[in-house]
Amino acid sequence: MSAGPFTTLLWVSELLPNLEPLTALLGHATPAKADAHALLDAVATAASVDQLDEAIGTIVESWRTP
Amino acid sequence: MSRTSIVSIDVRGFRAFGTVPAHFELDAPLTVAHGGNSQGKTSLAEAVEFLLSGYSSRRELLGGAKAEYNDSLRNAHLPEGDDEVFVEAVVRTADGSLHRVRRILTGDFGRGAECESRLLVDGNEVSDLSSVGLMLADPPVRAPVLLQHILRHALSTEPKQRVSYFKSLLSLSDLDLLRARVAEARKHLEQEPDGPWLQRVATLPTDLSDARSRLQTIARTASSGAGAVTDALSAELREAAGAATGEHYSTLADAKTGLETRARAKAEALFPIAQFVAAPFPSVELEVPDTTSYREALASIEEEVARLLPIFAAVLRVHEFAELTAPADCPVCATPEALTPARIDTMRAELGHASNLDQTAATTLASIDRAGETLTALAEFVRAGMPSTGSLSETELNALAAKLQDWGLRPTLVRDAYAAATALTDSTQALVTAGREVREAIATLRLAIERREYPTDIEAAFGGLRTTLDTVRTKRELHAEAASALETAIAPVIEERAGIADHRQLLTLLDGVAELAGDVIRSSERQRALARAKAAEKALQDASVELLDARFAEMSDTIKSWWLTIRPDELVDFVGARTRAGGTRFVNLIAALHAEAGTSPVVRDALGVYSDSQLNALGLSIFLARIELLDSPVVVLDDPIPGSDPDHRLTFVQNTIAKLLDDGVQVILTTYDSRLADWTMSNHDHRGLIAYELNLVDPRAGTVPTQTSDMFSRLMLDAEDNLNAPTARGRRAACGSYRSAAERLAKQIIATGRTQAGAACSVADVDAEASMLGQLVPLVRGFALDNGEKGQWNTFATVLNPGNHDDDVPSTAELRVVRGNLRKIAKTHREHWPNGLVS
Repeated sequence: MSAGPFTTLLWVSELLPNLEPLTALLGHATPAKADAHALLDAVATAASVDQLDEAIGTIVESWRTP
Repeated sequence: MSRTSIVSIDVRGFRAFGTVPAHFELDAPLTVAHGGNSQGKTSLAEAVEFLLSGYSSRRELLGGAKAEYNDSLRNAHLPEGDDEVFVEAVVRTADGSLHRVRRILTGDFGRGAECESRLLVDGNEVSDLSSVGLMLADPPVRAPVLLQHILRHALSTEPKQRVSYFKSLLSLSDLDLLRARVAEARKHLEQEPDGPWLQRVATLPTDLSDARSRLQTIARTASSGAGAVTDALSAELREAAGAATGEHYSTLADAKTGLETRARAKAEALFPIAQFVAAPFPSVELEVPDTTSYREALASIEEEVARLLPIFAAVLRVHEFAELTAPADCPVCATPEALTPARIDTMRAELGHASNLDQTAATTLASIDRAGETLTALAEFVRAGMPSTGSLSETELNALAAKLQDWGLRPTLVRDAYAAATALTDSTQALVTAGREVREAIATLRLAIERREYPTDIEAAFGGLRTTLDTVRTKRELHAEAASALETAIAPVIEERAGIADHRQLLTLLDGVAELAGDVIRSSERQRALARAKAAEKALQDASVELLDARFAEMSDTIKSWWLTIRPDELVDFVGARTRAGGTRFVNLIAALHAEAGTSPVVRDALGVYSDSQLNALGLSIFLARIELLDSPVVVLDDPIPGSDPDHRLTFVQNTIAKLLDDGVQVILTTYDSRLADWTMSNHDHRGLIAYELNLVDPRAGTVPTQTSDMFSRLMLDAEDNLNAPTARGRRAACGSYRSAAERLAKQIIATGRTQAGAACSVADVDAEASMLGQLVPLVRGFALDNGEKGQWNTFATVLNPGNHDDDVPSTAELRVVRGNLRKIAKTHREHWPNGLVS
């Protein structure tokens, strides 16, 4: 499927179609952004809300450890 | 570039479509479906929406209770048991291949239930149409189908609700999903309870509020390892115990002992429960020493020899005697040469037998020792383990019973415990006597064995002890029951009245310092994760807002470009969509109001200043912007321009539809507006179009589409505009159109009839021979299919040739009869001739 002339708008063919532009906007400049980045990386392959929750949960759990 | 397009569509049983499947050829850039009100136009648009999405946005966006849409997709007039409801299409994909797509309704909207359907592509079940290039956008507007309720929805909701619609238009709902799930994970952390030991700290009583506060500070600020946390907690608990008792404690054990002593003293001051308590009955097994092996070993040695064994052993310890080779004088009695090597060997053999006797003696003595230990334990139980109720006077007992009564408890509890204690104590007297007898018996036994003599029988003494022991054990159990009943009854009162709750709670914490440290560390880890989750959530929020703003800017420009196709060069302009509160909560639509062309505009919220038709144009622009940005290959527009806005039909036809067609979008337009349909067809005929007239005569059969792409049909459409005109001039115009339509139809029938008879003939050939209705009627009558038709043609020649006076113009009723007759003749001839009518 062609993305068309407006490549910033994507079809909802995946759970999180805007993940890529959001990741690009976020960057790693601060610890908080790096953590947010880790969340986005983790959810990139999620194909359902349950998988999304599981991926987020795993990352958040890892933050308990210093 | 080739794109996906819909080649044809068939609808059965869906909304206005009934038992007769309606077939639409759509294989053209533009399809125009015209029909009066309630003829099935919107049902056609909704059929496409259902085909693509399996869903009806009407229920979501039109308002009202969801239950009002129950059973709304299946045609209500389908016969009972007829559940065949489907929309089927042939789709041409970008590579030119054709695919059959079929959506079958398997469950209508019901009580709280969404509609359900099956979707097949070329016979294979699929979840969506992405495989044929027809993607869906975010709900609630998933399919590229503009329905009236969609158009109005964006404008009718409040700004803060409108943002969700715009986000769905912008396909940004996924960001909300992501943020919502991250927020959920963060909330989960926030709501995670402290461990049970930390919760105990939180419930420390007011007397210990300082300790509570300091312990909670340790929990809040802990960042080091378990050892340091344990040390800090231990120090604080020692401090708290010291404050509670007025002592200083250097170890946790001391603190615990100090608190227990203090708590016990306070409790005893209120009620001397300790006096009613006995020590646990000692865990002993009464084992009678077994002398059997000893007796057997002793029997194997002569008694006199046994007496001499120590002497034999002494002789053999002397090297010269042990190695004797010739007779020597006896070292004991000095008899000359009495000690011979043979006697030395005999002594050695007797000592060998004696060794076995020593071993059995040692084993028996050990069992005697164990019996002695059992007696000692029992004696200690009797000495120190008895309740001290015996020291209570009758007066004191009565006072205690009265106290229980004051506390609302049974006073007999005291008497019961006292009686049980007395019975226990009394029973131990017999135990003491029996124990003494056993002790004497085993002392005698011990002496006999040490002398290697035959032992006396001790079984009888042990039998007496066993009997008394059973009695005491039973009394102890009865006492334990009574004392426990008393203790259990008074415990809550003691806790409440003795002021020892803080002591108890501190004691609990002192017992669980390691567990408390574990809870503190887990709490610290949770706080750490929570802080990071909050910061990451904020970073995601900021980035989402930035992305949203960028999308809004792009969307805003695109909306405006569509607005300008509908309403170019107007004093009331559309500036764009603006977000407020960082784009997260409000979307405002901004209008620019010019007093005259070229002046600076006044900016206002569009919803406040736009007319209905302007709002309609804005809703349409928003929808079309989405179609463009999502690069949709198909769009369905259901009555996009309202009847109240005739001024913008032409701009819509010439600019808006033209832009869609120029962009390669397949346009399916449904409208009740005959002029809009007519203008659309006449403006875009050169691009290739297909037109339909929709009629709903029999609700069971459903909407019937008739293809009207030819000249006759367009003339009929043209006449529709003026059919109901109140003025003679208007009806005269309609009359002229119907006359032209009748002439066109007559020429087609004549040309078709002649061609079928074997003489090839075109409409132009007939036109050259006879162009006016009066000339054509005699010719066409020859091809009439029945006498009724012949009469109708005669009527057309009369009714549709009015004179110049208004009195001669046919009435609306007469024109309707003509319209019906013309439609019927056209239909029957199209069906009659093998290849339809020549065009």
